[in-house]
Amino acid sequence: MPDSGGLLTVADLDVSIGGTPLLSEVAFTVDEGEVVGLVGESGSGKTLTGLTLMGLLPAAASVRGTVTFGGTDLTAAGPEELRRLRGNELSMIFQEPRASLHPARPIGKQIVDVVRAHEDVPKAAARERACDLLAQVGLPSPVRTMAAYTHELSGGMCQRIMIAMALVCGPRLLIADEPTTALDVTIQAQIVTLLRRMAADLGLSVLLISHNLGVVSELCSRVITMYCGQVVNIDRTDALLEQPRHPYPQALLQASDVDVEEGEWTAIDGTPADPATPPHGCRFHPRCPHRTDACEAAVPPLAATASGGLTRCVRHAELTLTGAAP
Amino acid sequence: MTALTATDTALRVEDLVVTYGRGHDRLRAVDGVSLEIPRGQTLGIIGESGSGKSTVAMAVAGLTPVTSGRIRLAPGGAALTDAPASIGRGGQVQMVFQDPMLALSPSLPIWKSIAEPLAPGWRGIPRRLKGTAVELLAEVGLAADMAERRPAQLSGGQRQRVTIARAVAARAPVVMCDEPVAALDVSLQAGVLALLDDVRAEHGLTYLFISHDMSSIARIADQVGVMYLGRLVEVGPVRRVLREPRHPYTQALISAIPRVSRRARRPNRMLLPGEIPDARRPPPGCRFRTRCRFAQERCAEETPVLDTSEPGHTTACHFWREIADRTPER
Repeated sequence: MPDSGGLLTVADLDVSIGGTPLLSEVAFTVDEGEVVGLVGESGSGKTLTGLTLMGLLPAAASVRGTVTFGGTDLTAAGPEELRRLRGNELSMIFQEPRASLHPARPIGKQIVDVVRAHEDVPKAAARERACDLLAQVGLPSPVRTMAAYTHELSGGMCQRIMIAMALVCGPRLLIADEPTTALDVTIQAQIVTLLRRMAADLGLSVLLISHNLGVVSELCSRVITMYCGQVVNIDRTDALLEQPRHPYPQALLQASDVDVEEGEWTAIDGTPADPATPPHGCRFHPRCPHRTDACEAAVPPLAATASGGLTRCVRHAELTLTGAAP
Repeated sequence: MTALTATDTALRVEDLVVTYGRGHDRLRAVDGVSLEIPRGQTLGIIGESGSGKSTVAMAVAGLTPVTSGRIRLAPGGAALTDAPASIGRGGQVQMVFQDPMLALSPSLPIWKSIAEPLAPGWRGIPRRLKGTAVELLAEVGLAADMAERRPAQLSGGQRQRVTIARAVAARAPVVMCDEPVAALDVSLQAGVLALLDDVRAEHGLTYLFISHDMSSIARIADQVGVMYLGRLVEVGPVRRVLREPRHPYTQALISAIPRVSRRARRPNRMLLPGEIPDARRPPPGCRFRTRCRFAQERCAEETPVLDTSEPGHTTACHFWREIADRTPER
C-alpha cells in the first residue's frame, strides 16, 4: 500500500471509546485535490473516522495507529497544534448546519471569529474576506447575510454559510459529514453542485461522508466503504458502479439504486452488526448472500482486486457481482 | 374511468385551508387543497419543507384546526359524511410520524404503547391486552420477547415497526403516514415501506403518505400529489407522473434525485434556482413562477388552476402542454 504522496494517510487506526472498540484497522488515503466518498450504514464508523481525523473525540476515547496529514502525525499532535491545524489546514462540516452555528451571534461575526482565531488580520479585512466567500458560495445578498442570525435563514443557506466558514482559512482538506442529508432534494442538488465547484476552483481535497451512494457517485472519484468499524472496500467510483468487488457495497448500491419510474427497490437483509461484539471472521457474513464456511474462519485482509482497488472479501476473485444500471 | 361512487372513496378533502399565525405573520400553510383517496389505496404527497404537506396530514387527523373546507370520511364503508372535529376524527384516522423515538413513550414497554389505543382513558393498560400486542408485534416482524423492551433498546427501524403496529391496533381505516422512513437508513427504508404496504393490503387501510423523497413515494403510492407553497400543482397516477411529469416543479423535483448511474453526469439536469418563497407573502399568480425557467407574464397575472381536461392527471400550469415537449433529461 502506498504510504506517501497522499495528502492524508490513515494507517491501522483503532479507536475505542470507554473500552468499546468502534474502529478497527481503518486504513485509506486521500490525495491532494481528490474528492473521496466514505459510505456505510449508521453505526459503521464513518462519522467517528471524521471526528478522529479532526481530533474531536471525547476524552474517554483511545486511539492507536497513525493519521498522517501533510507530513504531520495527527494522532501524536498536541492540542495547540491540532487547534492550529483545524480550520487552517483541515475543516469539517456537519449534517445539521443550524446546530453548528451560534444562534445568538450574527453570521458575519462568527466567520470573522474564525479568521481572526487563525490569522493576525484587521477586522475590516476579515469581514471583507467573509463577505467575498459568502458571495462565492452563492448567497444572494452577502452583506445582509453577514448581519443575519441563523433563525432568519433556511437550512440550505445555513449549509452554504457552514461551507464558507469551513473554507475561509483556505484548508487543504474538507471533511463533509452528510452535508445534504437534512436538506430538500432540490437544495441538495444545489449544495452538491456547489461542493463540486468549490473543490475544483480551490484544488481542495474533500472526504464526503454519506450513506447516499447517489450523492457520492455524483461527486467522488473514489469510494471507501465501511462496515462495522472496518474499511471493507476501496475502489474508483466508476469501477465500483461497474462491478463491485465486495457484497456489502453491492448491497448498498442496490438499496440506493432506485428505479424511480418502476418503484423497484431492494433492502439489505438483517441489521448492521455491532462493532462492540463483531461477528467472527468477515463481519458482513451473517447478512451476506454469498457466504461460505471460509468467511467465518478468519477476518479477511484488505486484498488488491483486479479493478485496482482493495477489498476485504475472500471470494472477490471468484464472484462476479452486478453493479449499477448503465 | 368510471366515476367513483361514494362508498369507493375513503377520504375526501374539499378546498382545505389551514392558516397559522395572525396579523402580519398570518400565513396560509394549506391554501385550497382538494383530494380524494379510493378505499385501500395510497396517495403520496410530495413537496419541499414549507410546502404544507404535513399540515394536510395534521388537518385530516384533527391535530390542527381547519380554517375552512371540509374533511369527509366514510365510517364503516358507508357514504361520505363530514368527519367529527375531534383528534383522530372519532377513531377513524391514525398517524405514523417521522420520529418514532418522539412518538413512543420512553418509559413504557413497547407492548403497552401498542395496546394503548385499545385501552382508552387514564386507568392504565391491562395485562390481558399483552397477547393482542404480541400478535401485532409478530405482524410487523418483531419477536414476542421484545414486548417488554423500552424504545431506547430498539433500533430505529424496529421502533418505526412498533408505531406501525400501534396504528394497526387502533383499527382506524385511514392512516396518515408523515415521512415514516425519512429518519431511517437507506438500507432499512425498503423493508419498512414493504411492511406498510403489506399492512395496508391485509387490513384494507387507506394511506395518505407524506414525503419529500420521490423514491419512497414511487415505492408505495398509487397516486401522487405534488405540493408547492400550500397548493397542489400536479396530481396523477404515480408511474405516469414520474414518466411524464408536466409541471415544471415536478420535473425539477424528479431531476434533482441523486442517481447511482454509470452514465456520465446528466448535462441537461434541471437545477432549480433559489428557495421556496416566504409563505406569508406568496408571489401573486403562479406561486412557482419565481423559480420557473418557463415563466412568462401571464404567470404573474393569472393563477393557474388544476387543468382537468385529462381525467386522472391534472396540472396547475398555464403552459404545461407547451412545456411537455421540452421535458429535461431525468
